[in-house]
Amino acid sequence: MKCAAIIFPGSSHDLYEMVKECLNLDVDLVWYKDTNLDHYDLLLLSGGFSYGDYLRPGALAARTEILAQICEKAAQGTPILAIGNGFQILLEAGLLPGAMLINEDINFICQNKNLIVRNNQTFFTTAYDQNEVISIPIAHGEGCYYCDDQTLAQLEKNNQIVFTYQDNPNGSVGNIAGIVNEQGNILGMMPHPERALETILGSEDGLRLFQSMITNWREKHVTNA
Amino acid sequence: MIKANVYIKLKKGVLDSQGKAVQELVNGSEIDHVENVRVGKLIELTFANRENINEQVEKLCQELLVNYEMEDYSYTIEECGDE
Repeated sequence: MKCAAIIFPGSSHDLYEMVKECLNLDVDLVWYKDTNLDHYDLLLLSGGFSYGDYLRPGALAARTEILAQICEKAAQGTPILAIGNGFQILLEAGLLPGAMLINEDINFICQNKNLIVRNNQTFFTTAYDQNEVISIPIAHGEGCYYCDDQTLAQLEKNNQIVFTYQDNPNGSVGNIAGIVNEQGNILGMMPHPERALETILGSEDGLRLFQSMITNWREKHVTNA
Repeated sequence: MIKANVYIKLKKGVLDSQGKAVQELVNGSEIDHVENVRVGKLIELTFANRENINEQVEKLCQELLVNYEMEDYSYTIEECGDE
């Protein structure tokens, strides 16, 4: 499984470093101007502050040329994991529904939070139990997920809400912390599972998200080989 | 030169945390009777001439400047000198 960690000006390298060091994944750091994603099996969009969050978080990165390729990969069914600012970029690009507002209490919140696994049948979550409570850090100032009532009803109906906060820290509609697209191959989430891979860092609850992805990818591709 | 002033604000009903925080401080001041505060933004676009200006402003709003999920916009056009 060949992974691309796509980096914009201002993106963090956490996701790239952690999947490489802790999970030994075959991952390339891909600068957003290197626009050939053809041979990658999995795309990672990391957190950070692309373009300094100017205009709106993710808004400028979502209008760069590489997005056409990301959309193409998404349509082909390539799994995409988008964390923090990566999630904001995909919301701005319209690959996931909704938008992101400033946290309800205007604070930047950097804390471990309990999440509830609402859908353990996705490509990204099969190693968790349904409704399991996991501890994953958040680190954001604009993580208040917003969508209209109609979109929320759609998300609920299609089982697209993957993670919710146990104690909503930022005012997100429906306590939403992470969602998948209708096809189920794109997960966007504000919490940072890549920062919860080792107990020494406070939690290893993020590990099973990556293990789910690795297992499900192998089951689909390696057994058929 | 001609200038488009694009005003962007959060849609009615969308939580405006900045507005709420500003209102709290305003109402802790001498002028303590402000009923509501909403914070938005102003984007100035300066063009060399008037040709197709409405179309161009609309297109920029749709494609970049405004997030229709949560924001509304309006704009005015005015003549301006060289700035």
